[in-house]
Amino acid sequence: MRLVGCSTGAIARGDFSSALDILRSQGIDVVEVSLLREEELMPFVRFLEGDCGIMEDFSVVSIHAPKSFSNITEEQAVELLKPVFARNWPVVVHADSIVRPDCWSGLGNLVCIENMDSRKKIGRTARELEKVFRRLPEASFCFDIGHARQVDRTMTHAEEMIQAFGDRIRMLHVSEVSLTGEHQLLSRMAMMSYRHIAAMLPEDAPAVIESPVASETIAHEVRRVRESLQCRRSGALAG
Amino acid sequence: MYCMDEANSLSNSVTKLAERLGCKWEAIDKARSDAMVARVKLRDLVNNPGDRVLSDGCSVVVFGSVARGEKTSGSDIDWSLLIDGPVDPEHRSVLHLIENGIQDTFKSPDPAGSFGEMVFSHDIIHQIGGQKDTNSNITRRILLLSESCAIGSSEAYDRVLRSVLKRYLEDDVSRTKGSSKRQYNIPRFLLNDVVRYWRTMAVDYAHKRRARAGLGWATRNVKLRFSRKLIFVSGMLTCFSCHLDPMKEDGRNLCGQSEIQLSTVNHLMEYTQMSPLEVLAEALLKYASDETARDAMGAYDEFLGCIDDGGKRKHLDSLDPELSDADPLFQEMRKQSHGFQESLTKLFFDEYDELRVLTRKFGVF
Repeated sequence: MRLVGCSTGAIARGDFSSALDILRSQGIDVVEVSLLREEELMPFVRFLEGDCGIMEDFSVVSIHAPKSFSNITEEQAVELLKPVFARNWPVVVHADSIVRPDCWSGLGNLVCIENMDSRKKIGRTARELEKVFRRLPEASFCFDIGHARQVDRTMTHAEEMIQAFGDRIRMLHVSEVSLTGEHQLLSRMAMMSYRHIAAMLPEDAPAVIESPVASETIAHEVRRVRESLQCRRSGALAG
Repeated sequence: MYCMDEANSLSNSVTKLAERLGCKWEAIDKARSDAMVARVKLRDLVNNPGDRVLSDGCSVVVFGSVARGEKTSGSDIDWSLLIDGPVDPEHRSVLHLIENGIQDTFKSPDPAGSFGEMVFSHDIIHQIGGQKDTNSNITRRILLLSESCAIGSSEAYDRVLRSVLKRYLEDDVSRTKGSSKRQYNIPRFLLNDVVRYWRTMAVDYAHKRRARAGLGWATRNVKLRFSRKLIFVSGMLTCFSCHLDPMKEDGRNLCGQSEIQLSTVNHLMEYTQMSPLEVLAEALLKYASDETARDAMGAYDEFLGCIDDGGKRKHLDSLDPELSDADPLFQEMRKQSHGFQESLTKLFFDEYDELRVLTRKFGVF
């Protein structure tokens, strides 16, 4: 069965510490620490230097790098992320955030490039991602299924991305992304779309929920994500 | 058309009128309450917390008696999946999912009708008039404006409504010529479509009588005299309200055509949030004598009471047109419809000068 967990941003935006407590209390053992805003990076680095024993409770950990760099340089961000790389935790980076690939090139497949939604001009399709992977040939792939569907609801681009980079997929991001780019809980329609391509996804890639989830509905959303990513045998959804 | 969550507050006009006249219209009250229950059931089906069905870019829209707040025992659920967004292969699957849920709980729409299907915003907004404005398209468009209600997320629904209204105003030559004309006019393009739809309904009534060899004729006849006519009446009053309502006063401070247009769209949006009976009650409150108001609402209450009565409805459904002249129930409803018509004539022509002028000027030629 596929491992499913949550992004800390989905549970408590801007407060990874509270989110980690909630996830642990609910027995969720896959977590992605969201550091999407660059000011979140330093507190997490300090957290890792201190009492970070809670991280041992998670079997799969990934980190989401800041989406842009304005107060610190890309190089400084990679430097700050060293303790993360040292723990062999993959760092998910938006395809359009990488301006200087040389900063990331020595980190191999711990750099996990994520496909983008329609608001971005880079990394939305297989063709656009190819340019990114050409500059970072060892990087792994974080396939954001919600972004892929928002770009193309027929899921054709999604299939092309999986065909082209499926062997690189290390993580899955799961949510429904609205036409304006907001993460939402999964609708039946999104679940149907995801089931169409579920069989193409590597079974060992853990799925991280990015939809904003109230703590009391985490288990429910985990079930819906599992149902969405089950290999499609018929068009019907349970319930 | 009115939103489910606001239905109670928007039922003010009928309630206010009942209070003013000291009347109680039991059938109207029951039909409104039953419609609310149906809408809550539909909402649970489409938008159950934790099991949202639709992605953004589409809305489930109900039309007909449930949207009007006039649900009776024989009411079916006229609904459509309104799509205003990118193509999604799952639209078909989700249509069936909703269809199955509705079939389990309610009477399904007439298979020969314009409902129970995917409806695309582009047709509704862009195909006003011309060869491609089919009978179904004008039906969906006018009913969207006059008697519809979004179940669950209304984002796509609100967007389409606003776009349709904007389209009517933008393409209204009488409103756009002469930029110095700083006043609200009657939206003639919209009014013409309202009138056209009323005539279309009347012609279709004759067509169905022939096509169905008289089957269900009496019920359709009674509905034409009341609920179908009410759609026309509320459409006329909505258009006239652009001239009659206080927004006209506010409009004096507006500078340009675009400001006036935006203000008019907002005004018309408010009217689309009211059921046709609310629009009528609002006009009766403002422009009619108590006697006229009592007669109009009383007749409509009789109509709803008759349609809600399973035995009477069944009788009308199966009445042979040839026997209608001697049928006491049909004759009673016919008499009530004449009372309803007489009240409407008084409202539009006799009791309020400005409304009479507008009706003479815009309602006939």
